[in-house]
Amino acid sequence: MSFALYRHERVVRLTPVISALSALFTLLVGWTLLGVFTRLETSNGQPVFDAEDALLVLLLPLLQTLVFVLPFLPVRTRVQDHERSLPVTRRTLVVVRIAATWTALVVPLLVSSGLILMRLRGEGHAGALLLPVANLVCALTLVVLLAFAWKPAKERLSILETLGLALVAALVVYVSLYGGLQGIGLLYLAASLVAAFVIHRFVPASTAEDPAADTTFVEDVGPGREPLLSPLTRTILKTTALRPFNVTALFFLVVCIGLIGVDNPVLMLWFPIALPIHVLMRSLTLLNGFDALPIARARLFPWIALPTLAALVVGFLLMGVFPHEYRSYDPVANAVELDSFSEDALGAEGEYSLHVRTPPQLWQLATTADARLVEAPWGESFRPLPHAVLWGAPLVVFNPYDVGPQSSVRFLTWQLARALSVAHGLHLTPEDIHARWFADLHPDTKLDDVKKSGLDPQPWSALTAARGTTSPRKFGSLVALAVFFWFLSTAWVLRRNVPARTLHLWRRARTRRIAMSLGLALVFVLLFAFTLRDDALLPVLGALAHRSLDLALGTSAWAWVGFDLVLAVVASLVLVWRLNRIEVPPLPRTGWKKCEVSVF
Amino acid sequence: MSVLELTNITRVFERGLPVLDGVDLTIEAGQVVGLLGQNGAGKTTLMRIALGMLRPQTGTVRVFGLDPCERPVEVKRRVGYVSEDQVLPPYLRVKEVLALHRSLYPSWDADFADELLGRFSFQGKEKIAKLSKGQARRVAVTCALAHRPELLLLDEPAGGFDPAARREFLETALQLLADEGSAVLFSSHHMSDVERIAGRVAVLDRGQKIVDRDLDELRESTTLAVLAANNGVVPLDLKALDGCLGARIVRDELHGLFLGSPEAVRSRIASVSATQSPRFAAITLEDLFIELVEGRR
Repeated sequence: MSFALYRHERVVRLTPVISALSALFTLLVGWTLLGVFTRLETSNGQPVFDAEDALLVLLLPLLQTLVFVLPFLPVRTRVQDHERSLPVTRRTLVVVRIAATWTALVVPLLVSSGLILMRLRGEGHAGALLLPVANLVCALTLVVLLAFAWKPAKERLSILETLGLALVAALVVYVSLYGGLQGIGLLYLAASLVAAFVIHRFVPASTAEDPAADTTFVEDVGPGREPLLSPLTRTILKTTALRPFNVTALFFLVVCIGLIGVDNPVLMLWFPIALPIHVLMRSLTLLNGFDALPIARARLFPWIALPTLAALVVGFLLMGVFPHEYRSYDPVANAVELDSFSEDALGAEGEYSLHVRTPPQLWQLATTADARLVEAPWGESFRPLPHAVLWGAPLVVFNPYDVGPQSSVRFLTWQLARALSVAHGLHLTPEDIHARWFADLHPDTKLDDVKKSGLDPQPWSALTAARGTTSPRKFGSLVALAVFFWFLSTAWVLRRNVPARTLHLWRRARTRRIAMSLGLALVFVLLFAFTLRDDALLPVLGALAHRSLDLALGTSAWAWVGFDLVLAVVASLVLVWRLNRIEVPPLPRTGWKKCEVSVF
Repeated sequence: MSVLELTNITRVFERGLPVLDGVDLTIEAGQVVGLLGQNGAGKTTLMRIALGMLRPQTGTVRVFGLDPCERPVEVKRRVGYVSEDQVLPPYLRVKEVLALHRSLYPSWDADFADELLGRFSFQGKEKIAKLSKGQARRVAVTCALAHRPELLLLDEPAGGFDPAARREFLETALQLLADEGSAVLFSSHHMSDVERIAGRVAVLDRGQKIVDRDLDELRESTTLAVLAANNGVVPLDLKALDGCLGARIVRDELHGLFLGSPEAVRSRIASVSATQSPRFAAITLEDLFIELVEGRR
């Protein structure tokens, strides 16, 4: 009987799907991060991979899994109405719930870890991953047991209790990973035994409703205090913007973009699109409660869509407040610097040479090889390495301040003088640069003959630190980017729900819907592929678009504010027009779970 | 101008399974139309299309001469709607739910709302979450009626009502609105309710409208002929006859539902079975519905 209940738990049935998504995410993101870490930490040819790296590699797929699995975890409602009629004890139900929750959390984690281990197998540092994984499994076990040991007699936790539990869970998981504490797993196992004892001791046997154990059953018919908001506003708010799932997902959105996804273009693409789509799809279904009422959809639009926009804007602004440096493997940098360190900085196999790295906004577009030619006044020239924008297309981006193995020291100082002037406003002549930092090298020496080890990548940092970079207005473009992602994800969700206008078109509706989903997946795959292939492309293309806008807007802050507002208003008008055309997706007519049949 | 005018409505959710297939329906002011049909016949879809919640794939919808998809707010302000799966915000009290609706409907009649609340024995302080299913349905009905809509769309409105509350709802509230000139389209599986208040009946079967007639006329013009089964005549023989709405075997009897007087039906049956003389049974609306729907299988 217990196993039959377990098998039919929704979260167990979803576990294969969630595991597959987790695996996909690991392949796309975890493996990329692994590549980053193993390259980043290469020192004397020996890769180093420690538990702190494992934290990030594991944590990201885990976070993504949680986004998928959280709405379905059966920890909040311990006993549902239909279960009272079943011939099982409350303890059996709790055991089933614990097993189901544990399965949904641990199986995707093990799948992700397995894939990461496969990748690390040949590199000799797989062992570094085992301890964090074991710690994490122990932590998740403790979290699941705590979820049911917390107020074990209660049949449904309140929102506040659930949030409190989530905070405790986050703390337990965080401690388990950070620093690779060796004894933490055993400590957690001991704590799990205590929690299991509490569950065994205090969970009542009966599934009958017990009003005494649940304060929400206390009837309150008194007049009470008048609410501040009108019933309509309260209902709209609670149905859309303040829905627990939406609040949780939007919180994740802010965290993922603002604090995690900032230094990796792959994540930059995933979170701002995938999470808003989650939230918006759910919000649209919830509109069922309003569909029969005479409320214009334009009036509901802000409540449905603006929280997502706000979360995206906050997330992207956080990115700007806490800027992360580009990884050293990137051929782009936050400031002008010499790269004599990473073997494959420009993706050229076997190349080990000196390069000048510059911020992405200084890169240029070119369509022909001649356009890439950089020529110094004395005739020396260099053609920087092209980074193709599209396979087979002649359009490339390149760093016009770069140098090659055959370039001279004189050419290097000339390029540095130009780059420092444009990037930092630091006007030094090539002769100054040579005298200050390259005095021991003859101007005509080929860079190939220069000893690279021990070179300071930013000897001019003392001069440039006070100046910063002359990058375009960062926050204006970040808000524009947030609006762009918001428009993209909202428009896609709304488009899915626009019915075919005629029977003839409807026959193709399913094909169209599948094509749309595949198209979106293809865009993701292509973008991931681009990013994996060449790390420079997305930052450079984004920076070039940004620079063009900045030039067009005269770098005025007010012009940027106006531009962002106009962009948001135009996007909203288009989306409202689209919202008016959709059919609200239906709610399941039948279902065991209250949340499945209730819109409010 | 008709209150509701549906022309050639088709709506498909699954390939090859039209929920509505070329349905026409027109309702004039003051008419009370009972919409009958088995589960899945398309009643709810028809009502949701009439209110602009769904779009048809073919055909046109006009409510008060307006397209409810293009001008949803104007249309919905003049329509009352109760669905079988309607839910109300559980965290509000009854009076707050009414306040919510009052803010949305300019024609809200607060006195009428209070009167309905009194009839349904509410004080207004009750939380929706604490109400029984039937009580919550009464609140939903109050919300649908209190703005005195010109068109009422009721999808199984009395589903959770006890018999007394159902009668109260049907005979008092609904009749009151109908007397004022409101048009009512309601679906119900309680044939006694339909017989009590509907002036006209439309029957949907597998997405098609198979009957749309005045109720009295339908009763008077239909005849149920009963023959002995296994006597050389099969349902298909009867279905081939002029005016046959449906035929089926019930245990050892063959039932045939016909339009026309018993004498006319007798002569038609004689053409397929000279030896058998049919018996004519009295028929209620419920029998008529069952014979009609089952007899078409």
